[in-house]
Amino acid sequence: MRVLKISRDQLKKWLDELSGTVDLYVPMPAGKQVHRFEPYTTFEELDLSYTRTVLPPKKFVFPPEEVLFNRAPSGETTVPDLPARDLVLFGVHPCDINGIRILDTFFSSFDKPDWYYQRRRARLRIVGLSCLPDEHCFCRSMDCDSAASGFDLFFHDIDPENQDRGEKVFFVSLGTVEGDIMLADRADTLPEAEPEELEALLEYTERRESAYTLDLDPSILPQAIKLHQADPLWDRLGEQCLACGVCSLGCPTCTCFNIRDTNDLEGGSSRVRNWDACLYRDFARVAGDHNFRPHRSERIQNRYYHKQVGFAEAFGKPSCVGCGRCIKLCPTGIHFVEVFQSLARERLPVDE
Amino acid sequence: MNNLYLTADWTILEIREIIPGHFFVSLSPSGGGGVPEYSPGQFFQISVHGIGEAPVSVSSSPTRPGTLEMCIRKVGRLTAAIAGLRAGNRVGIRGPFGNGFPLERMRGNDLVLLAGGLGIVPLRSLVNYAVDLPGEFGQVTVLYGAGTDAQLLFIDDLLGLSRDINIQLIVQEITGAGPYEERFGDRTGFVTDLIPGSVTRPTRTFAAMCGPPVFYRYAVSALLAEGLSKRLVYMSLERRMECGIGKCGHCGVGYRYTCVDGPIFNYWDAFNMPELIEMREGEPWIS
Ligand SMILES: Cc1cc2nc3c(=O)[nH]c(=O)nc-3n(C[C@H](O)[C@H](O)[C@H](O)COP(=O)(O)OP(=O)(O)OC[C@H]3O[C@@H](n4cnc5c(N)ncnc54)[C@H](O)[C@@H]3O)c2cc1C
Ligand code: SF4
Ligand code: SF4
Ligand code: FES
Repeated sequence: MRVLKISRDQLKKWLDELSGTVDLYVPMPAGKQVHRFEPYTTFEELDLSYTRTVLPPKKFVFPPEEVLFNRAPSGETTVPDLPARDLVLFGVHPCDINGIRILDTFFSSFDKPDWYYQRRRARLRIVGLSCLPDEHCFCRSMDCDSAASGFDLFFHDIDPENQDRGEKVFFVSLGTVEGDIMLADRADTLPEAEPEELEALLEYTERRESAYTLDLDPSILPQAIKLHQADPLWDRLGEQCLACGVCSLGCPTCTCFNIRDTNDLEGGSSRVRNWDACLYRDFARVAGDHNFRPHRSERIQNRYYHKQVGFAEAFGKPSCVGCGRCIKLCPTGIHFVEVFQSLARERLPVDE
Repeated sequence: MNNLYLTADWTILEIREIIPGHFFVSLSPSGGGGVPEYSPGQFFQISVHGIGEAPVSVSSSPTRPGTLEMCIRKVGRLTAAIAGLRAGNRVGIRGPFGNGFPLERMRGNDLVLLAGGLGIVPLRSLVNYAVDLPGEFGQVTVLYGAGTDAQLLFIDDLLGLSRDINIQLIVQEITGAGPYEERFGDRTGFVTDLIPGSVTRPTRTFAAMCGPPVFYRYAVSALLAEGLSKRLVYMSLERRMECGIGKCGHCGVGYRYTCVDGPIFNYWDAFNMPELIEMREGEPWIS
């Protein structure tokens, strides 16, 4: 892959310009250690060294609430329009890029594509940004620590501690023609990285590799989960879990939703979908008050099973990218990786 | 690309309370254009706009084109709204969804169909399908049970077919409410009680069943005891459904979605996915 160089000043100029033609969202600080994707204001306000946003970028293609259609009293049905401008997400980390790729697969599955996802996705451009892992990241274990594709542009910041230096340079890779178009003729004039700079990029990658503190061997997970469905661990987790659903809502690949109707005063109605979470009590409840997963232990086991086994069997790979959000967000400290580690360690037959 | 969440307007041609709380509904698309192709075992999503939407099995057979028939039990908000509709009213429909019964595989074989309560609704579609295609299937046996004789659905329909199919009924309690008392004698019990002796060619018999969640494990073990091979046993399952197209996640079981991979599942699916049907606490029921 060819790697181009862009200076900090050029990057700022480019983002200033881009925000005039598209809806540009960037990682912004929103309190101590908290970040969100927010509309671009000024370059100085965005945080290029953030670790993870609270909500993953899925909200731009699969919003927490979305009107599917409005129905007038006459029966006339209309589908709300999207904003006129395309949406560019700047600063997406590899785990989240991989998360969107998983969503792409899922929302086009079974020859029954999700129209609402597809139309938002067709209008989304993704600009990636390199990162260094913290103590909750295990994307490397999930093979999601780099993004081979799934971005239009990708920026490497190999000197993230140093944001203010005037000479600061970012490395840029083009993923698609859309990326080139976004750069608006810059790509043809930006210089290519010199061999020693590529060497520095490689060193950065190695430094990043050794910075991971969490590790998980995904190859044993399916067996560990399938063979230990009756493990007392699930009951313990069921007692610890509050069924708050935060781990699912914050997960870049969790996609469950409800559909409900609302009414307006004029006799019209709307059909709306909202995020749901499989940890909620009513998730598998059907009419007649029969609940297929009445216990929290069953629901938490179902979540783990689905993400590491069920999804992989249906779609070829697990639906976890190792972003660490569920670990960071869980109010009772349930730790995705530790759960699997203990399942595998305690329960798989060990050689004597 | 098709927006699979949009509903089409359909008109109710007939709606009738056949037993208390259970409404027979016949429908066709309001704009003409005919009922889309469907297969026994599939379901449609039916909407009353402003109230909501629910999955409902087809109860008619594609061999009788022109209208779509359903039977809806009033249990909650949406089904109550449907119960309040009249002929000429419109509802929203999308579908058909789901896999349907494996008709190609079933052809040429005997069928044993087991229904508990409302479970007769999807099986009626298959019964009528088999009856309308004489020679395509072997002997068709229907074993149908309900709480009381007053709760049996489509009973005149089914008894009218006694020349073509072998139909046996059982209820837990005989109230004398229906004109069928002589059919029961003094015998009361569960539909699974009808299974012993019902299968004459176990290697050439497909079983299909639909009933309340507790019913499957008993029905499956009774069928296996009759010598039926596991791969010949099918079940129609219910789960909470919102989307019908494998997206909302509610109907997920193991690695399958009931709305696209089901609602008709084979015995082996249940074997591999313990969550699929309810099992006895701590007891391996699989033989
Ligand atoms: C494949 C399939 C085929 C079916 N075929 C038939 C059939 O032929 N005939 C028939 O009568 N029924 C059938 N059903 C069942 C039917 O879909 C339900 O009876 C129907 O959904 C009930 O809707 P309701 O609004 O009347 O009930 P409600 O209980 O009011 O609500 C319906 C659904 O919404 C959910 N819900 C309600 N309130 C909440 C809440 N507060 N939070 C979260 N969730 C909530 C429930 O889990 C329930 O599943 C079928 C179901 C399936 C899956
Ligand atoms: S399961 Fe947890 S670590 Fe994995 S992708 Fe979801 S939020 Fe991230
Ligand atoms: S975040 Fe933690 S407590 Fe909340 S539902 Fe998930 S596992 Fe349970
Ligand atoms: S009903 Fe939504 S996934 Fe099956």
